Amino acid sequence: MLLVVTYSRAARTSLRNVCRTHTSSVARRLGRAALLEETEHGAFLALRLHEKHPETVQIDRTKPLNEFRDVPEPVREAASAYEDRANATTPYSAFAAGTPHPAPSALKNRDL
Amino acid sequence: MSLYEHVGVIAPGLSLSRRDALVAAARSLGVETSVDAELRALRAKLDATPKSVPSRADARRRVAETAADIEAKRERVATLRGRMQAGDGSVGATYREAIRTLSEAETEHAAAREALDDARERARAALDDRDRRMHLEDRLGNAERTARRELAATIRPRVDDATADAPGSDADGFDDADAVSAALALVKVGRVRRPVVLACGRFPDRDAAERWFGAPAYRVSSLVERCSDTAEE
Repeated sequence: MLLVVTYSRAARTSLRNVCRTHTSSVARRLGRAALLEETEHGAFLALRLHEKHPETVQIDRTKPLNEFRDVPEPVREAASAYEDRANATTPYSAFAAGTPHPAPSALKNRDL
Repeated sequence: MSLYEHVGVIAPGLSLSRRDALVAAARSLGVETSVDAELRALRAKLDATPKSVPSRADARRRVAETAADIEAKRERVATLRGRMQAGDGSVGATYREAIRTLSEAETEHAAAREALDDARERARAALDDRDRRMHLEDRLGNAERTARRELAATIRPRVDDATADAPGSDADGFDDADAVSAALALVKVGRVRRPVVLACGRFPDRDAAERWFGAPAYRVSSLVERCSDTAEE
């Protein structure tokens, strides 16, 4: 989908108006941002906003995440195990220490 | 808008933005609010020119163009390789040349992608600045609403009294009054430096008006004649 993020009040107002008028091309409204459908009309709306506010409208393209394809198993297991931890106040770094789970620094250094 | 701009001419059919005018009357008296210091600080911060956000469009175009170029050159290499494999011995030099230009195109594409990454990184810093600015603008908007609410609340009792007291008014308060009575009350309570123009037929003469207002007034009699018919509707 197309992610449109606004960085000024004027751009945010324009985005709000576009979302209100073209609901069928808007997948999700998120305050100052919105996900537009990946159609030519969605692109048209996004580019129009960018033309109007060249400095304060940012457009990105998102793709769905399939964690079973895109995320290595140790990362998935770490997430699930950490959410299952006994003590809610344990930070992840302490939780991972001395276990097979990857350390935060290792997670940060590896691209998906 | 100053109070004078709201109520400088008082005549039947006056269109009065009541809340704005009420706030303007409070401002004319220099009424203070709990957010004055915050408003000053926020306005000072927002006074600075925002960092300009570098455009990434040229860098994106370059990435797209070099990618298309690679595609075309790869196809050419594949075609030539096919001919060589089919036993065409005459294309050897052309094939090597095609490989060389493909490799050049790949280098150019890699450079374009790197330039785009750099441009995105620079834009991110500028957008962080815009982000902070937008939060300041939102805070300013909230503080301005608070100030207006307080200004209106501070002055309202006096304006309500003056509205009830205005000649020709049959309302108890500002909100229920006709626009002329409401405007008269604002002039009486607020501070206008220039004389207001009266064409509302509520006062017998200028002196009477000035006594009631405690402020200078012009009285436009020709308009009064014309308007007083409609004023008493």
